[in-house]
Amino acid sequence: MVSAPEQQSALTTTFSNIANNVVSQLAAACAATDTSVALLSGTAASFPPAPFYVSCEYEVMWCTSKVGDSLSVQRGRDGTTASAHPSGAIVQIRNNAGLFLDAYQAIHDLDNGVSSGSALPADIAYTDKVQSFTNKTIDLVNGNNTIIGAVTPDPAQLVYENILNNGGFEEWGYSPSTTIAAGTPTSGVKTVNATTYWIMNSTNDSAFTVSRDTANTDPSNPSGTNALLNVNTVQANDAVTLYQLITKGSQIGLFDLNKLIASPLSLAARLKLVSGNISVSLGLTYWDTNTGAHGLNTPFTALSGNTYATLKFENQILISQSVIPNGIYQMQVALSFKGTGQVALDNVMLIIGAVASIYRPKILYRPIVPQMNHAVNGGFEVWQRGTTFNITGFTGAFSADRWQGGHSNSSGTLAITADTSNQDINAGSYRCAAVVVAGTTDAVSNAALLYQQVISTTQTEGGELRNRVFSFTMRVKCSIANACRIAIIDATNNVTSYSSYHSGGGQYETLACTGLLAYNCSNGQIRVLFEAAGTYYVDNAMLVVGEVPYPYVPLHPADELNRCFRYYEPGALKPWNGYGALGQQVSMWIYWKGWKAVAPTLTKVSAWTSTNINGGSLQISYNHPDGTNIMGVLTAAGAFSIGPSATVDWSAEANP
Amino acid sequence: MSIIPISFDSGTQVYTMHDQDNNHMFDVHISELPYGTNIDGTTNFDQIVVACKEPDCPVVSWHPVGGGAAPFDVQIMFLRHEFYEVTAGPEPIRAMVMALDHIPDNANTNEKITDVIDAIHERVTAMDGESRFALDDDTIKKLTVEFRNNA
Repeated sequence: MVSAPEQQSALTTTFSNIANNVVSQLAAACAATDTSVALLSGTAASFPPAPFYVSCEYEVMWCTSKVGDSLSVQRGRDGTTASAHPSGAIVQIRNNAGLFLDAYQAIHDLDNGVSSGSALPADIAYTDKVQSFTNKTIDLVNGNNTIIGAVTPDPAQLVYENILNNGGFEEWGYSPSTTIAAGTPTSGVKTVNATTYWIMNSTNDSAFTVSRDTANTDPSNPSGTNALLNVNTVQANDAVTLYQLITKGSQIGLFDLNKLIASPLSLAARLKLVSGNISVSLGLTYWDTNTGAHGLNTPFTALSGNTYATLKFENQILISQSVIPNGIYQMQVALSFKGTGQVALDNVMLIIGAVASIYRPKILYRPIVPQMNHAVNGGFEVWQRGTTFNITGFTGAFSADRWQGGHSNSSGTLAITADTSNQDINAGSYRCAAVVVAGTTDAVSNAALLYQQVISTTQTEGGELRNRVFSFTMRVKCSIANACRIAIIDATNNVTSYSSYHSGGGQYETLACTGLLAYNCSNGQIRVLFEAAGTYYVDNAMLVVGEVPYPYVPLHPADELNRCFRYYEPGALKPWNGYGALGQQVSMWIYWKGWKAVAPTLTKVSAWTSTNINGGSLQISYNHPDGTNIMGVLTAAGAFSIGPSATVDWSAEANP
Repeated sequence: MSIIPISFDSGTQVYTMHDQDNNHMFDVHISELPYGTNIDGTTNFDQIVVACKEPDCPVVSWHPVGGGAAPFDVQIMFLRHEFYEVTAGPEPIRAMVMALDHIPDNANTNEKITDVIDAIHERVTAMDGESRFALDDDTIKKLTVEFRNNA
């Protein structure tokens, strides 16, 4: 039970304190104007603490203080008249009207005040208390997406979807550690895949390493691994960046980026400065086919301490309502770093909403229909030209169908063989390419490589593939560390996107890279590079549209062979017999098994056998994507014949 | 596989060719590279015939003007061959090529160079479509210098 004084202090209306059986007498007469009355000695103790109503004869007074047996009073209250009282007059607490009227008035005022809203208490920030809201609707923002107060949503109640993949850095599909070494002050931007979905770049003489780490995971969220970043920027304006691309047509739907128009985005990342001095900026950028790139960034903020902190970039309307929806083709989420030191990064979360959320992982549902492989003969199963090739210097000679090779060292060699002993058996492969590289070999002027041209000057061949981001994966086995990697190269714009290197562990590893072949690209290639002499096995190349690397999926062998026929096809002469006159010209049509990419070069590879035909007159007259024509002149009247001659009499080769 | 041009000596006008099927290497003067033959027996100016010169080797490649197996090198070969024909080729081939490429009899060297390049470009496009022409500006400039020196 609370005491009376505590009751009073909690109320805005001053009520009379009361007590039962309280009575005394005036110790002396008082006039009507006296503001102090004296009670009989020792009797005031039974009165409650002031304030209280007290009555004497027909007058009600309001006692404001009690000192000993003397009461300070306000006279003539509660509708009565102040008057003189004789000594010995009874002074007592009665059930006067004011006791009830005060309570009635207070209830009435409260009723009106609640109705009008004026009686509600002022906003109170309970900074030191946990507040539970049950069965309440909490509006965190007003109609203009302005946040009302700072709110940490209850993760058990508010469910957001993370737009980012691998925001927790749990997936390391490329390499556990990738480094971009420092270049020169003017060497420009270097880009490489850091880990699954994340790409890293470095500028000029900045160095940047991204590594898988389990020693600095974020304790505030369930996390198995984090990314450990070694940063060393030199030029004041340079930074290194870790970013993720979100592109239509890949892990999100074709027009999903349109849904971000006028939507607030909030990004949160957990970072811990492990050592050194580093500042960080969070950025959001989108690309529009009509107007290019548009970005928003936070200022660079210095990291401090050795504990995780949350950096936020909240309530950003990245894509305004005026943007033409279907021009949006790519979005980027980036963390840029300046300085020198080591940073632990974990649990990056991007949501559609005005308030950044704590991290939740995204589970990517891959499409049921596998991606189309844009690498022809990616499995190295088709070898129509033969099964053993020796290439000296950079000739660009073909080996397995569609795969060309060369060594930048004019005396360097590649021996390429169809291999059925070292194929990527776990992927169901029958053949791989065994590549033995010899001679002085390095990463720059003496590089050796196999490559496939994806986009050429011929617009009908790969033209529709331009202005798209591709992801390229390949299975590679070798025992030389840091000697083999793959790349997507836009040779027109001199932009190369590399994978990390094979570890040299002697087992098949998946190398992967992601890169853009620009709208004006006329020479787009996928490459596997051999940067040291040795033996390499390459298999199961997969090139897909989008920034998501995809595991190799073979075509049906008939479909793969038909693809290869588009570029190269060997054939035998079919028996052709007839009768004619001396000097008569006769001709035979050959239709290719596959429509060629361009008018092919036809090569006669055997001594075509014939009877009654002038051998020197045997010509082909017609180079066309669908076939050719062989003609000859009869040496005498009568029967003539041409072919067959050998297993392979001719080949048609059409390289766009 | 095909017989493809590997290198060219602009001084001697001799090509080094590679028969990829048999790994034969041989030299051939540009004048020894004949045009093809149409089905009606007329000259097919959109085709150059390269026969391996290795004794008893049967390999012959019929290259189309679009380039076929090796667009960059074959298109350059057509340009060189065409310019050789209009400047040093025997009659009546020279006259036929001049007419084919719309080159006036009194054309000077620069005009011949320009007309030959334009003509080959057009015939490549006609055969294989827009953008099949694989020679960039730098290559054209180098060929122009080479042609002037040989004119």
